[in-house]
Amino acid sequence: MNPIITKSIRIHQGRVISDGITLMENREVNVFGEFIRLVYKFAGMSYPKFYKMDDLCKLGLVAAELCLNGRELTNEYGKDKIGLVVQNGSSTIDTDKEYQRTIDDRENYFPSPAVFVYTLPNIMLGEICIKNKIFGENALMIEDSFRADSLHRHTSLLFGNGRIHASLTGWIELNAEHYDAFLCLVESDSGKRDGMPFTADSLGKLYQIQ
Amino acid sequence: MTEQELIDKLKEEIIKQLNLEDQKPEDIDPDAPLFGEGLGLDSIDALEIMVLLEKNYGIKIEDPKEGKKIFFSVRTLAQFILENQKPA
Repeated sequence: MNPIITKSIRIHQGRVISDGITLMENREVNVFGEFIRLVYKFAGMSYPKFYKMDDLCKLGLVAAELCLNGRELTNEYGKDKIGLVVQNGSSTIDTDKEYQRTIDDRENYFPSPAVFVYTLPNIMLGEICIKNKIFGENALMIEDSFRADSLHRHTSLLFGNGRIHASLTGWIELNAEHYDAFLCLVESDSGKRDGMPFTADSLGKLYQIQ
Repeated sequence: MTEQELIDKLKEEIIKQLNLEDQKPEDIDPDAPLFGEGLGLDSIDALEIMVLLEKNYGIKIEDPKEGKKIFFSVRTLAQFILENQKPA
């Protein structure tokens, strides 16, 4: 069964776009922290831990929420058959810098444990997994920029060997005030849902048109 | 500073330090457990409160076994600070 893309979401430049349709737009708020709170509220989320997360996790969590759009994949696939394949360009550079600030001054040396725990990019995947009860394979790859071919190759491999039957696949990047999240819900084609063929070309086009 | 004044100050500091944005100081029962039930804090929050104690009050918890008792509630935390803070 070839996988298909059943939903896509992109959050960037003050906009939230799903399958080519703008769901929300706010270009007046220029600070990422404020913008992502608006998106969190727009997504109808109630998850107190959100406020404790670093900005990369907030972006990934909200993007996953909007991509799943209320669907509980664990009801349709085994918990360990849902995966995450994500690319990112700047790793956790923002949080790394924030942590560095807590240890820069030897006279005022108070390393923050709550900041330190977010200085690994795959923590973002962990937070998405915890929130959505996903136990399957997950991978985070650092790339110079969004690479549809490697995203497709890695996700296809997991589908092909039966490790996963559904996946959130995409690009979640944050560096200072530059943010860009693109996630696709990829599922085995059971014939019950509409979608576009999961190819590198489809991924590239979806990313570009949004 | 009285115990009550310190409790009020601690509530605000904990909300800020732990990013408890959905909490207001008046919502925090000073006698309710901070961990598990009550505020539902976790182990990372405990570490963060230890940093807060050191940074804002110059107090280090020397014996980790005491942590459970000290961190039980905002009131026990305030009492510990009052007992251990060095005079300015």
